[in-house]
Amino acid sequence: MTDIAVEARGVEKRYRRRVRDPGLSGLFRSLLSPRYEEVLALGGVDLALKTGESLALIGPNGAGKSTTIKILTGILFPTKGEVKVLGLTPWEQRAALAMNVATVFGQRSQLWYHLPAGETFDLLARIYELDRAEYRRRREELVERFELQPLLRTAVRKLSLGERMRCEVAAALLHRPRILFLDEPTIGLDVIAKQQIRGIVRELNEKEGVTVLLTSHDAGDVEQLCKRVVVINRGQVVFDDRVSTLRRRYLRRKVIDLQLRDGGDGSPPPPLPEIPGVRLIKASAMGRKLEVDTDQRPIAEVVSQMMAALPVADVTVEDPPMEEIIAAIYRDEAAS
Amino acid sequence: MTAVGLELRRPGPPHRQVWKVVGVLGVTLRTRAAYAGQIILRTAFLALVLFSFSQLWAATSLSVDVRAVTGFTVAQLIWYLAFTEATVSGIPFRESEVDQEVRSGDIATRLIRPLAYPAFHFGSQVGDRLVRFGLNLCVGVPVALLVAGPIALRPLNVVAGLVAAVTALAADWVWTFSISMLAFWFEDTSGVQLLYRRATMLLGGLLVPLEAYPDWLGKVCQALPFRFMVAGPARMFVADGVRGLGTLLGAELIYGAAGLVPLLVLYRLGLRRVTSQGG
Repeated sequence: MTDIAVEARGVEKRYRRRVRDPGLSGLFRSLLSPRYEEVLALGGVDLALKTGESLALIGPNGAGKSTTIKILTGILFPTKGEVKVLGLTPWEQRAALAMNVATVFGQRSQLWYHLPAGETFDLLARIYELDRAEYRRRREELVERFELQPLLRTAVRKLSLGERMRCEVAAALLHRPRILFLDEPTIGLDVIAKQQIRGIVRELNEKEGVTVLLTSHDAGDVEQLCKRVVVINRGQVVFDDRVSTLRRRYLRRKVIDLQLRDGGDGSPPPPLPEIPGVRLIKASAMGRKLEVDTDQRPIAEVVSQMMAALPVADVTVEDPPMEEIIAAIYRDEAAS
Repeated sequence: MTAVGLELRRPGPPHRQVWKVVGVLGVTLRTRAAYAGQIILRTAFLALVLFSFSQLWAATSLSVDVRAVTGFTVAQLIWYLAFTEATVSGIPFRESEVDQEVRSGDIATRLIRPLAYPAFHFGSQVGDRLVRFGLNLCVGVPVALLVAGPIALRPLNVVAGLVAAVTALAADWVWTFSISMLAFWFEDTSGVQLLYRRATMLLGGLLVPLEAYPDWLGKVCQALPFRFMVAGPARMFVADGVRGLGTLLGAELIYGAAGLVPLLVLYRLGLRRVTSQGG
C-alpha cells in the first residue's frame, strides 16, 4: 500500500465536434453531409498526487484543466490511458468514488436552486448515506466554520454569489471527502469571499489531510492554497513543480493598472515617481499601466508609493497573463 | 497502479438507493407544491376543454346514442375526459432538462453524486408529474361536477383510477426519459418527445374512449401500449373500478420495464459521448 491518491498515465481525450459553414447554404450543406473536426482535449497527461497534497492545475482557456478534473471524477471517459483515484477507476466505479471525493464547480451550482441550503444538506446526507448523528455533527461543524447559520433557511436563488459558494463548498464537505476537486472555485467572487473560501480549503488540507486538486485562473488561489503546480497547455503538461519555483521563475512580474483623477483644475496628473524595478508599459490621459519586478520591489510597497505620489481613483493588480507564463516556460525548455 | 490504504466508503445496498430516490421525490414534491398557485392557473385551460366537450357531447347525444357508441353516458364521458386530461397534462416537457444538461455540461453536477443519473431524474420528474396530476384533479373534479353533475363513483373506482394513473405516469417516464437519452447524440430531442406525446394523447384515448374510434383505428389503438397510459386509468376511475386493475397494472409495469432496456443501453452508450462543454 502507498499513499498515492490520484494517478493518471497517458490520459488522452479526443472527441468529434460538428462544424458548419456560416449562412443558410452552410446549414443545408451541414444537414446533407455533416462535417466533423477532431478535438484533442488531452494529449497524454501523466499526473500523480499524494494523499494530503495540494496541487493546482493551471493553464489558459481550453488547455484541458476541466477535462482532467472531469476524467478524474468519472464524468468523462478518456479515449486512452489509465487512471486510478483512491484505487478506483473513476468512470467504471463512479458511485463508489463519489462516496469518497467531492467536486465543486465555481461556474455551476450543485445546490437545488429553489430550496434553502439547509434542505439540500439534508438530501445530500441521504444521498451520501450518512449516519444521522454523524451528519448532525458534521453539519454543525461546517455551519459554524462557514458562518452559514443566517443562510440556511434562505432559498439558494436568493443568496449572493459569495454566500452561495460558501454553501456549495460546505455541501461538498458533508460526507468528509478524502479528495476535494475544485474547478475555478473563486471565479467571480470579491476579495473577502475569495479569502474566506481559500482559508477554509487551506484549513481542510492542513488539519483534516484532505487532498486538494484545484484549477484556477487566479494566481492568488494557486499561491495561497497549493504547494505544487502543474501547468497544462493544449492538453499537455508543460510544467510540474513547486509553486515557489513557478513564482520565482514566472510570477515575478505583476501589472499595476492605475486610474487617475485630475487635479480639479484640468491639469494633467503629475509624472510617475522613479522606482527601481517598475516600468511604465502603457499610458493614457488618466490611466497608467506599470510592470513591477517583485524581486526588486514588493508589490505592496510600489502600490503605497504610487498612492502617495499620484491622485489615484482606482487600482488593480494583475498577474501576467497565463499565455505569457506558458510562453516563458516554452522559452526556458527550448533554452535548456 | 497503486491504491490508498484507508478503508473506502461504498454505496449501500439497493434499498438505500431507492431511499435516495424517495428523498429526491420528496424534495420535488415540496418544491413544486410551493408553486401550486401557478400550476393551478395553468390548469384553467382544463375548465375550458371540459366545458366545450360537455356542450359537444350534449349536442351529439341529441342525434346519436352516445352510450351505444362509447359505452359511457355523457356525464361519464366528461368525467373520463377530466381524468385523462389530468393525467396527460401532468406530464410537463421537463424532459428537455436532459437536453439542456447535456448541451451545457451541467450533467457534470449530477454525475458526481452517488446516485445514478436516471434515478435522480426519476425522483425529480416523477415527483413533478405527481404534483401536477394531483393539482389537475383538484381543478378537473369540481369542473366536471359543475358541467356534468355527479356520477356513481365508488371509493374503489377512485383508488383504482389513482393507482393506475400513478403507475402509468411512472411507466411513461421510462419511455420519455429513454427519448431524452438521445440528447447524447442530437442537440435537441424535443421533436421526438412531441411526436411521442401526441401519439400517447391521440392513440391513447385522451379525448374520447377508444370504443368511439373507427373500427380499424380502434384495433390499432388496442394493439398499442398508449391505452394503458391514458384510457386505462380513466376507465378504472369512471366505470370499471378494480375490475381489470391487475391486468392494467401488469401491462403498465411490463411497458415501463420494457422501456428500461433502451433507457439503460442509451444511457451507457451516451455517457461515453459526454464531452467537456462549457469548461
